[in-house]
Amino acid sequence: MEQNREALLEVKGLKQYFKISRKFSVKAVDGVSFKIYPGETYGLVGESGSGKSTIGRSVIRLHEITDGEITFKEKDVSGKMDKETQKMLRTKMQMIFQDPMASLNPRKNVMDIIAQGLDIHGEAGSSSERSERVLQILERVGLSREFAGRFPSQFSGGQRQRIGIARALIMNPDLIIADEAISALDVSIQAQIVNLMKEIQEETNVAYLFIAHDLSMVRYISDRIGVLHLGHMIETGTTEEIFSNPVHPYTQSLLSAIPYPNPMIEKKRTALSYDYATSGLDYSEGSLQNVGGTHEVLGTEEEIANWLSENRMEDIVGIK
Amino acid sequence: MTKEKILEVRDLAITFKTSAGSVRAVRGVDLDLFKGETLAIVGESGSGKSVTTKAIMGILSNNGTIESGTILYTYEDKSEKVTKNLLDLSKKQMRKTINGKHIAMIFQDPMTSLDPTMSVGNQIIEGMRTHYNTKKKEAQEKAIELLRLVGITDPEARMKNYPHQLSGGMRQRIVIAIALACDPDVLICDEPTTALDVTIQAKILELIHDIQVKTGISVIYITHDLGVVAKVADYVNVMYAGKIVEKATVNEIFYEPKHPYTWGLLLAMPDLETNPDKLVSIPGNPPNMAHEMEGDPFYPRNPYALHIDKKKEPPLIKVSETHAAATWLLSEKGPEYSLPIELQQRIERMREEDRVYGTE
Amino acid sequence: MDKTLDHPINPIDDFTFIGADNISQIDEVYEEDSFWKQLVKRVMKNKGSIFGFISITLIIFMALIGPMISGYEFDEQVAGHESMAPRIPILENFGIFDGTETLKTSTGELEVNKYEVIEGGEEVYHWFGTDVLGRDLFTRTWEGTRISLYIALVAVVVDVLIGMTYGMVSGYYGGRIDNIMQRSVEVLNGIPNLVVVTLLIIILKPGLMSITLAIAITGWIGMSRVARASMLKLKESEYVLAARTMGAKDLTIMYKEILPNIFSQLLIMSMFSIPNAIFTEAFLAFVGIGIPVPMASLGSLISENFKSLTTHFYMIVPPVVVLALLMLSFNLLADGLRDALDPTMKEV
Repeated sequence: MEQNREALLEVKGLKQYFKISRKFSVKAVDGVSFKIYPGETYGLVGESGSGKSTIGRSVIRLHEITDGEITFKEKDVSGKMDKETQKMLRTKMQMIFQDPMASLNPRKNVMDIIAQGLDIHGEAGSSSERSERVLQILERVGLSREFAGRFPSQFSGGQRQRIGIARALIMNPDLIIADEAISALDVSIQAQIVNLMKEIQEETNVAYLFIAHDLSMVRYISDRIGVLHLGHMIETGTTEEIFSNPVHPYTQSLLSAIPYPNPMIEKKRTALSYDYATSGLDYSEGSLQNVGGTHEVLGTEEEIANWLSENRMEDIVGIK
Repeated sequence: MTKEKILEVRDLAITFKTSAGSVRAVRGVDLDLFKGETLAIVGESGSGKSVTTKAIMGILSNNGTIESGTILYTYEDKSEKVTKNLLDLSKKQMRKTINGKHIAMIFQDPMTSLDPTMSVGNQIIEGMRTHYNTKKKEAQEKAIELLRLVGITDPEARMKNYPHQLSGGMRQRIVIAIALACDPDVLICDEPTTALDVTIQAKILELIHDIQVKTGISVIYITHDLGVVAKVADYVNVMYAGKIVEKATVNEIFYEPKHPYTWGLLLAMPDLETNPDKLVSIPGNPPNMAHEMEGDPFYPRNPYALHIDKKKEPPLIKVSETHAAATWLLSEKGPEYSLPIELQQRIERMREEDRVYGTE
Repeated sequence: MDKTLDHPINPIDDFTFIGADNISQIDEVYEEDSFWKQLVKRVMKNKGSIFGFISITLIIFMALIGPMISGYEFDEQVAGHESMAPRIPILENFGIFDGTETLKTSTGELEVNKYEVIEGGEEVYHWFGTDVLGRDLFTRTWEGTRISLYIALVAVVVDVLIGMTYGMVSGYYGGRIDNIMQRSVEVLNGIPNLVVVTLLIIILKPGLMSITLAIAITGWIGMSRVARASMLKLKESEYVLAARTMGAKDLTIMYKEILPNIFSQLLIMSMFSIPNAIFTEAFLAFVGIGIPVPMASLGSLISENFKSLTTHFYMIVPPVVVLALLMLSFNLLADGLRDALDPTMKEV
């Protein structure tokens, strides 16, 4: 991967602490850095409590960030922004949400939902122009033009998610954050939506920040991956690097836990165990070290040397 | 070793009255469950999988009616083998004699399955006191044993905890402990790990397997994740639009699937070698069960649809003693066909993997 | 030659692939009635709400046309027509409502029919009778209903507007703003409603506007609570987040995204508030600080005719019945609405 391209999005040392009481804050994100290049898909993987959703929402500035720098299209969007930067952020960066039922306003029709961005930023033009733009996008995401007058409750989950994608797409964004966008859908529909997202990427060169916990899908769709645990980025690299050679024990346990659809093997396998509390590791002590190519792992030099010497590949099936 | 059948469902049909009209959620389902076996029911939205098991437990919502069918359950009542049609029992009788005592159920969301105002220990004891009138001390000891069985460390301390003090994985373990408290013969799990992290899911699946080995209970597993099916199931039923479209042993489902919907489900999961440009997906949407359809409900999404699929719904056609699929492709008059290339390749790969890894 | 069949059955064809034509991108969308139509359907299933709805409609209808068809003015005191019993044209032939009443006197019971006594009495009809000043009760009852309904509706509308805005703003911004707004409301709420209302009327002097205002001032707090609770619930919904990521301003989000979704809650709350308002007005009238004479409201009618309870009890019956029916009907209708909108009703 050429690293001399300009990054579309650069996150440096992002910290997001939520204050619960005077003495106690939840450290949802504790110093995460990554870059996303134009036209690529970056998969952010983690389980509950890892901070992945918080990162997505912080990047799109739904929250104020506690600390760190976020640069989008070479403009600083981490603190107070001027009007122009704010408009750029709100149009060129879009988000698709997890729950297809909740992400669409039940009392608005499809036309108004999709045209929302246009309406807010005054880009709608005349009524017929607005209509036409919406209808075109509707077709682009695989829905019939007649659906523009209907309401969300009349659609299935997959169709609603397409409407959500249309809403984001109509703004011609450079980056779309997909926050668990397929997790709530039926398996057969997930495949459809992922295909749609890939087609759109090919056509418009949009970049995706794909936040998910379903590793098989993430592996399929992402160019590069970041693995999160307890608010820290513990391993990052290309998809190939991570899946063929997971170094950090957490990543290994995560990969081994994926149920593999081959009954003869799966029945004989047990997943690797990993418990942070008893592992003796301290995430705040380590730093991201390069272990080859673009593959980086969080840890002290000692720890990483240890991990590299072990080989637990047989327990993680499906790796070549 | 002859297999002992404990649950037999025949011709089950269930309809719901909703504001959208009459919904025929289950349209004729036959199921068999044998002792010590794990049966997986696979399906997506609208397949009717949850409704079927709710009917077995007798907890259908009030606007549902059982149009037809029998659910024959065989169990030991005072050292005698008894077979009853569960549909003949009233809800009250079900609660008294069957629920919890013989057939237990665990649901998807551990938070809402537990009473937030009762300590965990009391919830486990509750069933035992109600069904068997166990003495409090004895019940408490048994509860601690159960907590240990489900892998909870420091069980004595946990007894006094409340659900909100525990993590999602621990809560689901408690739910399993409660389900096992009365020594049921059958455990029905309705997507028990869908809401959990994948590492915890792996642990819970292993736990249920261990318990099965130890106690010999039979398990019905509802899921949409074929990976989970591969791990836990002995026998698989694939449901679509209220009917079973394929039933087979787990190996047959993965290595010799016969129904185009099953092919679609298998291909919808990306694999190492999957074509990076396009995932083969089943087009269209799950059916709207409020609309009556003529012919095979799957035909609009089926690239292998035949003209007759528009007119007549295919019956389950036998492939072997254990394997049947509801598709006209299997009938004698059916045309020549072959599995989608991607699927053929995948099955090849699976066989290869089995040779390499499976012999360990 | 082959026999030609009427319907050539070709079983072989049936078993051929439909092929590429099959997978047309026909994306089905479920037919569904609009939100309001669904709501109406559900409400209509509830017998209580149908009853409530019908009686409200009838009462409103009568309130509008009643005073016009009786032939009398509401404040017309016809000399000689004092305290006359009800007399209704066709029903009088059946022996009821024929203008007679039984008076209890010191010498025993006495049947009296004033219509036979006054001149031209044959042609005179008072369907609900008259009061002690000779005013036709039918006209006065419906005129009173008009005023009562008017006061209640205006008060509730004002309540919704103020309460809704207050609750939404408080709930949306949260934090300190919410804190300050809610604490102030709690202080206001601590003062008993009837005390506030009574004091206001005494200061502003009884009149249509002042009474409406007084009732509105105490009612908005409940409305703001409902609005705030709904706002808190919906504030973090994903469609609101989506609007924020698009850069929508706060005001736009409150009124365009959230308000349409809480509207039904507000509607139910107002349905419940109307009987409250009617009753408060009636109470004020009863204690003497209600609508000034000669205007009539249901409460003032009950108040004035209360004195004749033991002598000519028919005078108090119409306003009481109408008042009770109104309150019951609004309650029933509101109940039905609330059940119809209940999201916890699971259908499958």
